[in-house]
Amino acid sequence: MISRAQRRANRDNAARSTGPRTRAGKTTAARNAWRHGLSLPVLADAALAPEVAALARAIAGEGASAASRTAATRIAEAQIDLVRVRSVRLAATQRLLEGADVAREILRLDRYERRALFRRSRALEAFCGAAWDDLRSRKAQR
Amino acid sequence: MTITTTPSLPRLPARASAPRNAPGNGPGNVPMIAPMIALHTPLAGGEDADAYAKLLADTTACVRPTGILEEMWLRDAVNHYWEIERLRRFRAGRLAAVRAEGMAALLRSLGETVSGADELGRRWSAREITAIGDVRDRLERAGLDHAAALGSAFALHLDEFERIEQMIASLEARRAAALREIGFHRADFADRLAAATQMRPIEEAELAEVPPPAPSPSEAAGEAG
Repeated sequence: MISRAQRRANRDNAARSTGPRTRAGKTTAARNAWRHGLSLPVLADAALAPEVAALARAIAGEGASAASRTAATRIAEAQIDLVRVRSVRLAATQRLLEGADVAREILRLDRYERRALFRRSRALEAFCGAAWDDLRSRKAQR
Repeated sequence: MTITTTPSLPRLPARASAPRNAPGNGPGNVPMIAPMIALHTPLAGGEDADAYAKLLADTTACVRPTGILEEMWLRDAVNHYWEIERLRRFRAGRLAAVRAEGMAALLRSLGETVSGADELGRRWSAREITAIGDVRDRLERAGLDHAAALGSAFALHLDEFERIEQMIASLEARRAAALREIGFHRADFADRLAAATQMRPIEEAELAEVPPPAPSPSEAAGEAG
């Protein structure tokens, strides 16, 4: 039990606080609400950008049109997002298997996966259309 | 009546596929794919990595994906299958783990005292021969069987099992959606993939009642005495 004077001093100090001042403190505070980062787009993580680019190149292939490359990039982004969501879900599943009560948490991750799947599906449709156009234009050139 | 059909879509990923003769990309091998996707496996701690690798290799050999998109779909289907199987095993394991509670609740409903029911339920769950016989007699007199104990355990942990069911249903829905999506692009590939990752009925096998072991001569003599 703290003294009345100590409590008053604590409250005075807290009232004067304007948050963290150092760079490290601000960095820490900026991540207070961070849970898994799945609501951020994949390209917000600079480390994943080369992965997206490599996958998009592999999907589009050589000599693809700009439209095909754009659609392939969207597929790649959605696919990498799926991998991110599934990695987080796997970690939670691991805790579930160890006896933690995280079933609700796992179910809450569903919406991120559904969203990524929907984006991949739409991107695939766009890619199909672009690939079809590429094929027709190549035939016309011949 | 004339039925018009939309022209089939171009065979999408053929131009994006790794060469058929690339190392590790032949039939029966795990396909080459972007590193991050390849590195992500749905293996939780303690799961058999070789079994997963074999499942992936067998499925790959069976459906022969051409191109990176088909490889992505294939991995989706295999991973969904793996995760659904894991959750079904987990559900069966949880039910087995709480069966003592279910049996205790059932015995209480048949007039046993709280402490007596808990003790008998615990011993029955530990497969003690005398407890198994005692429980069987009591259940038979009440016209019940062991399924009633499992049902009782299920009811006691309904919230938990409901969430597991939701997770399984969610994964099954995604698996079905993935196969539909593949079918939209490549009907034959989707059919082969669906057949290769068909669900096996595992629960019935895991929950099958195992007869109690025959009592040893000394135990039999002890009971008779």
